[in-house]
Amino acid sequence: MPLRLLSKPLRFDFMLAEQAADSAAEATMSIAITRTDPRFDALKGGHNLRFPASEAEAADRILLCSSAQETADALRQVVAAGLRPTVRSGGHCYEGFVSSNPHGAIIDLSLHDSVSRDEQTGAYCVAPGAVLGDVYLSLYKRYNLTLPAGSCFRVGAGGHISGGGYGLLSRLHGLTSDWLTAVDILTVDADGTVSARRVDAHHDADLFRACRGAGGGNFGIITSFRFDRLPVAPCEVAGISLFIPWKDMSEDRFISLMTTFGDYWEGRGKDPDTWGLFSLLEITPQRTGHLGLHTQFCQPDGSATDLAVLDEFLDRFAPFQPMSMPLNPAVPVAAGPSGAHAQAPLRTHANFRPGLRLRPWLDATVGDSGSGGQTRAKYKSAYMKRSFTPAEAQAFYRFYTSSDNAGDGSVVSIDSYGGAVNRPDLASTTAIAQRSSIMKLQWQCYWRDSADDARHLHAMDAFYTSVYTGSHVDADHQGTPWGDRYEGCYMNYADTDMLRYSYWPELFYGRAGLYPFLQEVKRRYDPNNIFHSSMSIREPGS
Amino acid sequence: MSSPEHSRTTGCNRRSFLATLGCAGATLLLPKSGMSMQTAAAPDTLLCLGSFGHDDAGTIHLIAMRNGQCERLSSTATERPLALATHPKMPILYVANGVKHYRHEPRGTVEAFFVNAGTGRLELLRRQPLSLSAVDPRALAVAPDGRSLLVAAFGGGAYNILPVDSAGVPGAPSTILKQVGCGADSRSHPAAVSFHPQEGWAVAADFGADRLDVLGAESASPASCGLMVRSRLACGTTSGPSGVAFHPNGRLLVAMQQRSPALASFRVTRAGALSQVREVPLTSAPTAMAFHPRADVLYSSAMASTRTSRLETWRINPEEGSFARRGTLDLPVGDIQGMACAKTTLWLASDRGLIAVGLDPLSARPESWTLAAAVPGSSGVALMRGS
Repeated sequence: MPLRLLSKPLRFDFMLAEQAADSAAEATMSIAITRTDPRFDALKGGHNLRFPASEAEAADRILLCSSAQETADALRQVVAAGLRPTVRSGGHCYEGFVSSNPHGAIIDLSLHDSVSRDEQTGAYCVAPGAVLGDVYLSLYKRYNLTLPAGSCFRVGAGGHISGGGYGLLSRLHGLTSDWLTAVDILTVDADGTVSARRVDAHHDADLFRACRGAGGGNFGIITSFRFDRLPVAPCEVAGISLFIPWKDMSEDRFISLMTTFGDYWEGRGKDPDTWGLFSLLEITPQRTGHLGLHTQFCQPDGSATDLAVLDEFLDRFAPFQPMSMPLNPAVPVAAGPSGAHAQAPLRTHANFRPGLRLRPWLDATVGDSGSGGQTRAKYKSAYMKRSFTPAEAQAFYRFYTSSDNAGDGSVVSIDSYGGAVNRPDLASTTAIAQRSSIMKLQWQCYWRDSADDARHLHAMDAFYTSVYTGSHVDADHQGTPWGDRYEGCYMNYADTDMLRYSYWPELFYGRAGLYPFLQEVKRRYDPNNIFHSSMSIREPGS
Repeated sequence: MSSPEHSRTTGCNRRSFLATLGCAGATLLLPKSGMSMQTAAAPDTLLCLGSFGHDDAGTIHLIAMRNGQCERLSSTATERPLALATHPKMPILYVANGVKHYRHEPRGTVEAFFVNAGTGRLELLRRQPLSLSAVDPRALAVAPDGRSLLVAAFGGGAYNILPVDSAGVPGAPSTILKQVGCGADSRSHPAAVSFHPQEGWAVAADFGADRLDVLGAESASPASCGLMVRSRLACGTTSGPSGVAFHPNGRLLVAMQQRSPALASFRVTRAGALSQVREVPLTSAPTAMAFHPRADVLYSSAMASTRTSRLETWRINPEEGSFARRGTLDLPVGDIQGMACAKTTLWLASDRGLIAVGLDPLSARPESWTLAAAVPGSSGVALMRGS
């Protein structure tokens, strides 16, 4: 069935013809997985095993789509049936925005995973179901190009790119969404018609801007990301992981460590010659024995022949007597110590043997590939414009040295950003408002047993709140990263705890009018709010 | 049943009206009854009246009529009670809380109260959240068998079916129907629901999409989730259907249209087919309507001026679907948000409070009226079974 567009300019007829040819050649339908299908249990949820919270919360069906045409047809069916669609690419949503969909349908794009080049326009096209590892391989091998995207190789392009797309090369090349030049997206008109749109800076420009950072689950289903240009892949990079022992780490020494890290990005790290440098400070519980400092560097030309910038950075940490280990190429730089990523939960078995693990075959085969595996998890985030205050660092220290083991299973990754991410013009042409930050923090906690949910969720919430409580935060916004030192939170590290603050849209979308803009885009392109979650764009007054 | 956007269309909003009356908040001028229900004679009528003020804080008043005297038995806190409905067999009251958030998530809610005739109090059984994005529920209806509750989420553009257990307690939505459609509005706004008095299907009015939807169970479709839209009937662009009511015989449906003020009648088959019969234009947007339980009489209200509502009585021919106006009564009570009709009394929830309109026993025509309970900001009224 050909896509049925509303009346559109002539240039879109080309896309129609292309897709009609594809659909004639493929003539396939999406694969419908219902509750009676043996694959349902493995596919009903994503990587965070907290969701769906119960069988009643799970969607009734998963529609596996392997092309834009199948996706459009599936969406049309879902809308006509009055169901709520949620959309999944890689399944790494941090909250239950996708898999908590009672009686609804998950439109799963993981089989729509092509990486190609448009022969007519030369644009590089990434389908939403492509995982980052495959994207990197394909772009590199075919074209010697890359995306400045994330380091978790099994994260799907759909959510990652539409929500910004931060990675180790972002200081050098900006965010992945900054490189977008067009997006193919399916929207649902007021009368229920599914429209296929190619949006860019000149066609539905408002929707295009919204998709460059706020596109996840808000306006429609993206079926292709298009890039006219992409950065050349580095030839080589220098990487190093240092481990700083907790032993003899006093509170003052810890504060000094955090401020050393933050001061660099607030100062020297703003110089362009350092933009090829990315570092991640990993704060883990004292009982893990070490803190981690994982760093990658290349020069702007993609070589790693002159390591002066790297040496200068690392020398700052010499007083902390770090232990160096060779970089293990099998382990992504951003991965924390293995203890931070708990294994999939053990299920009881009649003949229980220590170390025995029972889990879905799919998870056993591909579940642990560099993205934390399948566990129960909670995440939080904060953008920082300035280095750490002693009060913030103190809060970290006290949490992670607490004798009550409240920090068990948790890690805070402090990622360096700024550089090319902070080009001022990008705030007005994309939907990422945070263009002044130098660091982005990701709180993570992983555990196995649902009986520990309340304990871990409370501990994380209390810890995070304590970091942002004090004179360094605006009096009316205590407990949140609000004020001159911060730029709020990152929506791709979704955190429903923040809903309790009435100003949560400003935390995620800034205070310069982005959220009202997105509300208008929502009203225009998804007037019936087909695409929604607990943290999706809401109508004014909500 | 009430109209979704009445205050906007007439320019008289609740706040300005209350300010004019000098009322602040929901104040009941009649004293609370000091009598124990167990020592008093059984009430002639037991009804529930919802009200809310400038914010979402609201109240459900349990009111008894006994020997012509009105007594407020109790008042129970609630949140923005936009619609009330009762279980057909048990003393359970359901309230649609027309809110936009619940526990920080974009959801409306429905409350269920046990109406304890012995103590004269409402006992909250459950506050049940609706589906995500089903905000601002403005209408609800209980199935004739008492086993499900149909809710129209005006703001959320969705219908929810809530299963009701043997104790009358609603559970999480078993069916969620997300709507699309646009009429004068750019989106769907489900505004009213009513179950067929004998069959298990229902009719809903979509104010935003200018249509009526027939909702029924469908087990055959693989895409179904238990309830589906069987058919849709366009009501005409900018009609703005805002209320529906079945004649007690189940063969006639009347819809009130707010944007193009009118009452429209539809012939109904048992299978749920609707065919429009008549449309009677009105001079102003209707705000509420109700059928008499026995006579072929329909009552409707509309604002006649900023402080006065006009109550119109219509003689209905249920076979032909025709209406004939039989009387008009102007009531200086402000806006009328809800109606409930017993055999000899028509109860109105108005800006001034609960109005009791005495009906002629033979013709069912209004004969007189009184302010039974001064509760400013009354938003809905429901008669308990047996009243």
